[in-house]
Amino acid sequence: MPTGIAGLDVVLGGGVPAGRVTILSGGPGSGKSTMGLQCLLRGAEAGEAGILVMFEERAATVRQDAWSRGWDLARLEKQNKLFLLDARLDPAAVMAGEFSINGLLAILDHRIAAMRAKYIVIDAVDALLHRYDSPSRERHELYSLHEWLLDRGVTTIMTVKAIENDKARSEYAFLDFMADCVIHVDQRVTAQITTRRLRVIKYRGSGYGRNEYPFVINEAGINIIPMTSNVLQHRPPGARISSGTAWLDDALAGGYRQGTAILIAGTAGSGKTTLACLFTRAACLRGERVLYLNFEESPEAMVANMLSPGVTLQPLINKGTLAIRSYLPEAMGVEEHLFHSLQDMSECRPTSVVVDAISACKRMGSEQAAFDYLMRILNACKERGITCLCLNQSSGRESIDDISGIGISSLIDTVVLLRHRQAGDTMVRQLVVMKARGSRHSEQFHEFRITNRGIVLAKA
Amino acid sequence: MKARGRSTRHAARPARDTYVFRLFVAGDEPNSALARENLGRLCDAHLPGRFEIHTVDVLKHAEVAYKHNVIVTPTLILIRPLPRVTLFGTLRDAGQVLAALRLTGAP
Repeated sequence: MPTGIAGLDVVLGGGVPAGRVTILSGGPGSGKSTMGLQCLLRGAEAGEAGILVMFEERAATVRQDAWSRGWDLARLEKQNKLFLLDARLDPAAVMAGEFSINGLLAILDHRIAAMRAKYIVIDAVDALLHRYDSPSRERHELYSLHEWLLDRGVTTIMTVKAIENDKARSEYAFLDFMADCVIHVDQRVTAQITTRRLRVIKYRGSGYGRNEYPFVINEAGINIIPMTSNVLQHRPPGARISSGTAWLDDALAGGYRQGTAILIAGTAGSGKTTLACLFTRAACLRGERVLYLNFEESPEAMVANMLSPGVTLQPLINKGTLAIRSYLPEAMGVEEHLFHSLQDMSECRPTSVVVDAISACKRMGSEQAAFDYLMRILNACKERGITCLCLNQSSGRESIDDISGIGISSLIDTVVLLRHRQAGDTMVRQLVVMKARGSRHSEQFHEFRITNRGIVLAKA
Repeated sequence: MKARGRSTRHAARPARDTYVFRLFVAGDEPNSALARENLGRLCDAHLPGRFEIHTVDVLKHAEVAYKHNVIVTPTLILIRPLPRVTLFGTLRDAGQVLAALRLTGAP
């Protein structure tokens, strides 16, 4: 059964098992309740009624929180497609011997029949279990509930708090054995940046993605960004496109190739952004769209600074062919950056994307985070036939093999290196094409100057 | 007892200080049967002639269970005298139940 969470359905190979029980475990604030509710909503919108059983939250609170995401629960409730069942036990009630949840089951039975419900989400089942005085009673009660749900044939999602304490975890370990599908979500903090991850621990009788998948919760709900597939679906390199600098086109035997990944590496102030902006302007003037992802400057600062080498960008922005999006790397975790970047890509529909600079991406959390981000961006570009120009600020001391510093070199088709050299009392700028996959290229170090009319060769 | 799962057992002459209970059970399952038995014995001993027990079978009256937010069975609610008291379970410990119902020290 599809969950309505697009990425999750890809990871699960279609959705949660129909007519079975899925356990969704996670710590506080990990997004499990939101996921459960999102599944119910998808069902309800598609005409398949669902019931939300809440052991912890008030119905009014759930309605309010959903409203803030733009989900109108009351409307679906009125249409009899959604039913919120407040199953909190009276905390003042006196425990006077053995009991069972037959009251709840009777209410559910009645509702399932009346609404022809297809889905049940049981939120915070652990809150119920705490009311039993012994672990064996908890276990027994949960097994009965599981059997009962299987008999009814409704597709169920049970959310359980994952407890970090090892003793408590072993008490609830039987849950993972009982259910047909177990999904774990968590949020963790690495280098002060919070990231959310999802992992499918088991799924009886189904192939599923076994990795940890990053996800984001935004105002519209849960978004999971799985690798779109496990096969490389890169498009072959396309036609030659100008680098925006005539002599560099010559060095590249005609320019870059559409749909490839290009790395421009160099020390600070070596002219990377200028080179990228010349490329950007040339592309825009051809009538193509360019998305410029800037992790170092605001759009305004970038536009102003580019006036110095004579690259005017503002008219291109006004025309709508250039979109500059500036993000602070440490403001979000890697998956949130990825989500925004991919969203920018689908909004702008660019022919080329510039990432300025991949060295700043390390500030998304770690080198691994930067690698994750860049790899996904490069893959996304290559699948769509988008040219991707990455800039990297190097210290100048890296080995030639590891010029990106982030280990993405296998995905890079063309490498252009910029560097400084001292000659007497002047600084000489040099450019060399280090690699151009599938193409011959100049092996010469070209000396150049940045003038107020762009980048020109020092010697003709 | 009335048919269809809702039954009422009460003293001949309901007085002002009559204790009114609503007992939610799930058919004849053992816990419910025990609670019914324990409550009856306790009332006969401590509230002779001044109690009413309205029994609701949730298996037959799910809507009533929902209206009263009855999730577990057996659930005993003391309706009168106020304030309301809710007990879950078989009511096996008479001392505990009497204390909860404010009947400690009653004859």
